[in-house]
Amino acid sequence: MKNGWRNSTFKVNFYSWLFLLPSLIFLTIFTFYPILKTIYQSFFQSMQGEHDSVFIGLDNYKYLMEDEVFWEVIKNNIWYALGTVPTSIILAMMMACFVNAKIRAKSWIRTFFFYPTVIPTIAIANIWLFIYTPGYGLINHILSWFGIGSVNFLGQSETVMAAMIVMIVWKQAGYFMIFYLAGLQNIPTNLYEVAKIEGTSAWNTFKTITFPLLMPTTLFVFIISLTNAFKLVDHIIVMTQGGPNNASNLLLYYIYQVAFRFWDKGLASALTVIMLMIMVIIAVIQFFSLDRKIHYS
Amino acid sequence: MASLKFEDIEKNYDDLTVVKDLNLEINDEEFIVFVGPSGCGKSTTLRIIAGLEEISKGNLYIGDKSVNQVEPKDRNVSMVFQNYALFPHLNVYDNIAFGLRARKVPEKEIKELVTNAAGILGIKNLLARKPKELSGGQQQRVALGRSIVRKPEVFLMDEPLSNLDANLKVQMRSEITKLHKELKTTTIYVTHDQIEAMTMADRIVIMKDGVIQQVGTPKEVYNYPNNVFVGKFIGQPAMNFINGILKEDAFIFGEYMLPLPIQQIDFLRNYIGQELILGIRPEDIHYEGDYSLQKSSLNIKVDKVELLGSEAYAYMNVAGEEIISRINPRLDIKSQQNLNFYFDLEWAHFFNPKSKNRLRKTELKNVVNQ
Ligand SMILES: Nc1ncnc2c1ncn2[C@@H]1O[C@H](COP(=O)(O)OP(=O)(O)O)[C@@H](O)[C@H]1O
Ligand SMILES: [Mg+2]
Repeated sequence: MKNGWRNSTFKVNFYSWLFLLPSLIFLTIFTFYPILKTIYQSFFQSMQGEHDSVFIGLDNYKYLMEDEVFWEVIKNNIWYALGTVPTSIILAMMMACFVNAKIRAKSWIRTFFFYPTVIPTIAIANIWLFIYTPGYGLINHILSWFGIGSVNFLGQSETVMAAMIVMIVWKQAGYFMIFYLAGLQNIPTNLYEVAKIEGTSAWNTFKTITFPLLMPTTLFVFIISLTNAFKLVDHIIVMTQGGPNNASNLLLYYIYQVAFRFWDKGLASALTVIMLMIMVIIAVIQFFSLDRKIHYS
Repeated sequence: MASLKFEDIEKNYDDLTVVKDLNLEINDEEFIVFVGPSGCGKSTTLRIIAGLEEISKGNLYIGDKSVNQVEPKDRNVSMVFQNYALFPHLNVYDNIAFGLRARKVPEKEIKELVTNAAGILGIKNLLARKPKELSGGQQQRVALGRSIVRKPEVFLMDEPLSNLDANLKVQMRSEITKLHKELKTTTIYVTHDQIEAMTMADRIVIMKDGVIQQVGTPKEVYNYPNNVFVGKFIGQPAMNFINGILKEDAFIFGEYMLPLPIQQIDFLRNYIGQELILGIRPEDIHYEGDYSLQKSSLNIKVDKVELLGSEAYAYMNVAGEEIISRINPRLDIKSQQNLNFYFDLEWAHFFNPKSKNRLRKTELKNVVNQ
């Protein structure tokens, strides 16, 4: 009897592992191994093209702590996150509520809100490069009607970050709107009918029903947009190269620069480890603080 | 508390007519049950009263006031939904207080009212819980609490018991009835379950395809169904219907002939020679009849017997139609036996096979207001 029981658990376990094996192999090759290797490399001074790397302990990290550009990049990234995350979320929620209401031309407006998401990055960069062009760009053109002279939005440190933020909000709010639309569909219409019969005002209906019941969606969107904020690189490569004067340099772009412009593998690895830690912190926030309170049913 | 009046109400969705020619008066303090098969327009009618659906045609009055143009919140009604529609993120207290808060009642008063309502419904100990921590029956009580706490003029309930298990249903049925006796608020209750209708209603409104088939007390609609549909819908098992032809003093179907009692002969004088439908309740087809019914007995083969405990049903086939007789459950009757059944035709009804309406002494009598 006992033997048989053991046998069958072994079998169950064996098959479970067998089914998991393919994904485990891929995870190991493309995720676990690179992470460990990166951490390992961050303790070495190894320039690309030189074969022997030298163990230097935490020197890469120490260097970063004193690196002005690194702190500039971190500061930029925090501003960038503060600029994009809440704005995208609020806009997405407003757009979804608007589109979800009984209005004419619903699907047109929905498409209109969503289409920035489906345009390829390079095309978006092009559109906004035109919008921001000094002299004859769209915004400067409009500004000229009011007698305001040409502004080079992407070319000066004071405006470049704001310009990037506006563009990214424009791009991702429509995408988040889709999640909010799904969230709204999940709220039973009966709840709104109760509010109607009981005479709850529109604003209170939003405050007491819609907003709290959208919290799971908001958490999801919050996490996505926060990680997005630390993952932006393509638009920077195309539009500003982190300039002027590192004013639009963000963490991932800095890693790219260090690794593939300065060819400093060790330092790039250390930066990557820091980036990984930021991601882990975000995941921990999701798991432990927010996740529990907001799932109702 | 208020009376209600429906005047020629019609509801269309595009070209689909969902409710038609709705004329009805509901008295103050009355407990009215709308019953009918799924999709017949009961919920729509209820939502019309709440103001959640606009009327396509006609007038609705609550009290003396036409409410066609009145917002749901100003109709002073409250509604209990089939799925309870509790707010999942609010606890029981806040759920019950929801309507009071919307009406800006002071918190102190809210506390008193909520505690009071929770007391009536026996959920005082649950006030801090979230809906998902409650059983179906408890959630139902919370929904009722939210609805009674505001003391509206009309309660609307849309299949409030259909998600509960059988025992709880019976219990909640009597609790809702008790609640109505206490509060005396005009109640309009929707269900597809004829037992709920029979046990709870002051008057039943039977609907089919958006049209009222009959309005009456449970006794009236059970004993005098307006038409075949009502006879089939009210009563479990349904009334038996047998197609046949009327002769001078007997009803003929298949190889069978049922002699009619004197008063039926008299009543049916004008229909001699016509095809009719005989409607007779299972309890009026006896196996152990009294001797006076002797002459209206038929020898029929029993197909199967269904024992329910306190009662039993014998299923038989006559002239191509299945009929059911309620028999004494203690009898030892085997299927495929040939037995004598006594038809008590005094309570039988006859229906026009075309219109399916019950034959009446004066055909002019209004179908709805009997
Ligand atoms: N919003 C709507 N649009 C179109 N048809 C509807 C709508 N609501 C209900 N109906 C239709 O109206 C009929 C009656 O529905 P309902 O009143 O919910 O029936 P019941 O409550 O008696 O089951 C059904 O055929 C249903 O499909
Ligand atoms: Mg319904």
